[in-house]
Amino acid sequence: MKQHRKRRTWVAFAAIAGAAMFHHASGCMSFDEGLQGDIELTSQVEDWRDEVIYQVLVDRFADGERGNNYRVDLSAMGKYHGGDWKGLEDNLDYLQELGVTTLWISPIIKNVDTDAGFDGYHGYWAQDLTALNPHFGDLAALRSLVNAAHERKMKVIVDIVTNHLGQIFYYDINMNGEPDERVAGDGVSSGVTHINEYDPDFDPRGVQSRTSLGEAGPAPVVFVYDPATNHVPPQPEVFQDPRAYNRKGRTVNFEDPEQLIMGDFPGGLKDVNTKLCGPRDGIAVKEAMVESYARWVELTDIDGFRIDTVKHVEREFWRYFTQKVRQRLADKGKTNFIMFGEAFDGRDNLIGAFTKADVPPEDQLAYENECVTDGRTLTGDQLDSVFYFSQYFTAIRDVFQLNQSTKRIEDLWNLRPVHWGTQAMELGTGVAPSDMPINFIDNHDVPRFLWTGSVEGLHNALTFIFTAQGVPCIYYGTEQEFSGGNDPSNREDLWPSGFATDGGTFTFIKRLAAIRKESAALRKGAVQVVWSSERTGEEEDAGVFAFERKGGDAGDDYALVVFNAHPDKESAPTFGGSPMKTTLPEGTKLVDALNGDRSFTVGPDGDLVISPGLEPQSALILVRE
Amino acid sequence: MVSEWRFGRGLSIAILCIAPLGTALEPQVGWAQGAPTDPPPSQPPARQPPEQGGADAAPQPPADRPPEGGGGGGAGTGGEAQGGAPEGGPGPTAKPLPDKDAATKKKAETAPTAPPEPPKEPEHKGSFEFGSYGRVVAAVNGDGGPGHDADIVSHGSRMDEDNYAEAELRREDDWGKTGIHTNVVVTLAIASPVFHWSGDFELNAAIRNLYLEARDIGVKGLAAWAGSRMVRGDDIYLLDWWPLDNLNLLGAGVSYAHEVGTAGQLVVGATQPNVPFFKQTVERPAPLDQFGSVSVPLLDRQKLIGALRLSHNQKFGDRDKPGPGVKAVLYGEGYTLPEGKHEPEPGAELEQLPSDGGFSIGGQVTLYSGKRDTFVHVFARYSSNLAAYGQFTAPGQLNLEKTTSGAREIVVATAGNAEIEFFGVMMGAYFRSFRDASEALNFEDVDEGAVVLRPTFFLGDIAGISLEGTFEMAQRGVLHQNPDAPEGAPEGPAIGSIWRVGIIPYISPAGRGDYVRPHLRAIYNLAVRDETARQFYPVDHPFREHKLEHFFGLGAEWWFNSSSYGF
Repeated sequence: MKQHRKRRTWVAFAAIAGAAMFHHASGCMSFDEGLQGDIELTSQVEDWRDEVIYQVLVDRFADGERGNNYRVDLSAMGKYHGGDWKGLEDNLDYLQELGVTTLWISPIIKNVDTDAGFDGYHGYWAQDLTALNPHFGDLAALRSLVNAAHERKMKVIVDIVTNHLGQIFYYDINMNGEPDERVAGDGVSSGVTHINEYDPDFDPRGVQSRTSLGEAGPAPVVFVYDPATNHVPPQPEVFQDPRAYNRKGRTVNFEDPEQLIMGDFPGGLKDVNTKLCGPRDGIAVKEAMVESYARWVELTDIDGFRIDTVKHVEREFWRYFTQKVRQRLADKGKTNFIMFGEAFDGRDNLIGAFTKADVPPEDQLAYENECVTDGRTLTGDQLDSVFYFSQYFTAIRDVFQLNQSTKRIEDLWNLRPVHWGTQAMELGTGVAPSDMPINFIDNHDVPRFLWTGSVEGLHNALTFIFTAQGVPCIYYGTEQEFSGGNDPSNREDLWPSGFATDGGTFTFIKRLAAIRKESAALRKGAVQVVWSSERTGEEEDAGVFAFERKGGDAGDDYALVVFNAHPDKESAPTFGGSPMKTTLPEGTKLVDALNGDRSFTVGPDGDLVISPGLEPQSALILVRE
Repeated sequence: MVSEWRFGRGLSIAILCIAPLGTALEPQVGWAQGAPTDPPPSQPPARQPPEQGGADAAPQPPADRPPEGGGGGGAGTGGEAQGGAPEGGPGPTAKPLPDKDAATKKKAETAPTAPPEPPKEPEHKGSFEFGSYGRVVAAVNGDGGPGHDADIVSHGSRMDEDNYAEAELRREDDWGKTGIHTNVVVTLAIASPVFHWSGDFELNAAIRNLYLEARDIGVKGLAAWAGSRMVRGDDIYLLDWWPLDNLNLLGAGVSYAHEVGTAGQLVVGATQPNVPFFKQTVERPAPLDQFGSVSVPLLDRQKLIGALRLSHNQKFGDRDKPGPGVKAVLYGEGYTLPEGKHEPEPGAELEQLPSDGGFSIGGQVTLYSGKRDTFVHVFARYSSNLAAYGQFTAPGQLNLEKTTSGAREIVVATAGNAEIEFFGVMMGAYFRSFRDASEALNFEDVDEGAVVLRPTFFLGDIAGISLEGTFEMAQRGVLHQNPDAPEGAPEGPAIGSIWRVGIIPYISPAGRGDYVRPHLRAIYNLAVRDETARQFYPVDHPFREHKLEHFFGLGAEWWFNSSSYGF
């Protein structure tokens, strides 16, 4: 009897063990196929000008996975709200219906979790360049998002930051071994700025330690260690070396080139010394940036980088970083990988400078090439494009919101071939940067258009960025007519909108995207301004701006776009009896693709009479009938 | 002795637990040393863990360990209980246990001559036992506040010790088939504060024994145990201290005791005091890029301990009868601690902690009369490095290599008891010199000693009056201008002393004898500190303020049937 019982026990045990092994072998605990193993890099893009970019602040878009809702506080705009990559993937239908073809997602890497009462939900407080931010998901979730997007012919661009890391160390100015909230000044009773050890003011010598007896040399850098808030020494390990940082304190004067490049970003974000490389300087900062970020491409097959704060980084770095990333990815089969930067500045020559492929002076280039060990020496190539911040200020703000002269836009555009690079980067997008600015009306760093503008003005501005030369980029929530002010009010949760697709602005954008998709001219045509005006009052053409899109890579396609940016007056492209002149032959019939209710015939000498004029804050997209 | 206190079907073990001097003439196996073969009574509970090497006696930790001796507890080798019958012990408790086996045999012998029955399988016998040590006192000082222990040395008089008790539950089995006797022992120890004093409905408690012991494993006298256990030898009752051997560890042991009186025990085990020298838990980011932080045992090393005890008990005269004798003990402990790493400050670079170790070696000679618990112990022990710091003490003041190398402790101690007619006298004394691993002298470096004398007048069999006089002196390794020194005398080590005198009238339901319990008692103690002794306490400490300290107490002390008191 006992024998039998024993035998039965063993049989039962074997059955359970077998079942467990089968369970494991059958993949019940495995990730989906296709998410395992090496990723095959693909090139998803034919021409980036065909794209419509949609900027997603992942934390605020959609919460698709409750399991990663850690430190979520919906009552505070400065805290995590729970959005994640799964939520974005779950709502790709919504974006596809909107006409979006490319997602620009906020930074993916691990951040300082929370600091001074605010969370790193935005992703710009990097702590570990080698790890993903668990608030948004894991590698499987990110890969799944990218795969799902690619299946829909959508692309994914990831936001990266090379200028600085998060609040990962403090300057021990008084050398007491602990971070002090105030070591000098109170900012009120004296002219001295309130200085703390996390974010002291810029000092060209480097932040100095000081005691009551005076200065005492460079302040030691102390890396914070608080795992609960992820204030831990950064990764990769090279960033645990104080030499990897400029250590000069916070930029207080952005007009000072030295502060601009070497100062910490306000908020205590530590400025990386991006000039350093291993062969030349003994500390491989440049290499670490390339390795860290190119690795994410190799792990996920993402299609581009949006690069933060480029004007705060040396040109030398951009030449190295962009070229080495392109080379590395091309070697692995990823071409047409786009890298565009953000230089939050209205100066067109400044932002355009990051797209120029000008070869630096010979000695400078030789100096930079001391960092190169793979035999592929550096050229002048830099970024494929930048956000068109000068246009944001000149056109979107000044013209479409403040009713200033439309002549300003023409002047700005005319300088683009001068200020911006006019040749495509080697192994880059194949398009000259000056032909492919990234056009936007607002983003996470500025108030939303509707903060001060009207819906009509918004639609007009949207029409502008969808038809102007370049790539349109929409900030999430625009389609739902969000109207938040400055950061963080402009970072609303999208989900209360119910992801509705029947709103006025949603359908308007959807229409613009469709028009653009159908029009090679609007995507790839060269631009020719045919009407602009200095007048902003009651004049007949006050607020009118018109341009043709044709030629270039658009073949025979043609589009004529006419705007009335005036907020409350009908205007037309005519003045003193002289109508707008187009380059079209007489008799060409044009129809309005935007509204579909008007048509025009080109008169002698290309004259085009639009009468009645355009309603305030409206536009026509005229294409051949 | 104390057979009345047996609970359940108690074997002699129970009785032997607190068997005083000379009660056990047969060598016993098992770890309850005080057991039969250990003549002197090592009595009840001590108080502060003597492991507190060098600790200032003033702030006494609560927990205490019980005395040895009684521990004979475990000793009742497989039901051969008789050895515990005390010779010349106090009246009623001195009766030998009934030999149940013998009775059975006798019954069998006198049985009618019938056809022989087939041999019966040996019977299994088992029982649950309960044992305890305890002391409870309600005390006031001269101001009406609670009375506190006034010692200035590591091991001072136990007269004014705080509340402490042990409750032991024991399962005992005689396995007829194998002839092996087993004990499963669980001892719950409770220390102040008690609920009725503090109002805090919580317990300051610990499990001090949790082990299984088997005796007569194939060979009579061969025993083994495993678990968590107090392992100890003879104590100095008046000082509540085991000066030679007192291990508290998680481990195992094996022992053999030959009937001629020679015994040996080997113990191996480990301890990990919950202090940063042994264990450090740090916060680290959660793995695999998960949220927040998790606790990580960065430093997790334990002391591995081995102890060897050899003893011989030479009885003069008839070995089977109580009588005088001499016992000698050689004892050694070895400690080893693996290397590790720790984080000096959160986020700081990790530091290596080298491996460490140490040893103790010592001996004991005991003379006993075999009558009325009369004996004298002399102990000597030398400890080096890690062993010098005490078992649960965090080694402070390491050397520059962050090890305990260079530390040492020297202990010389004595204890004794004599009883004649209505009079008894107990004594205890020691000298201890401790130096930590740092070369420079500091407060932890101490030379100290105490002498305690307690004469007792037995008032019949039910009461008595004890008087106690104590002198304690401690010299700390800090420069100090002793107030009592002549004018202009140079500064020297801080040397403080305290005189204490006390009286303890008591009722002894179990009869007369210094080692007979329970007692219902009153205590008065007067302590007189010199100026330097007062300087040992921080500013505003009552003991710094008071030159004289009064202690009035009403309380009780008991022990019975406990395995704790003996090795």
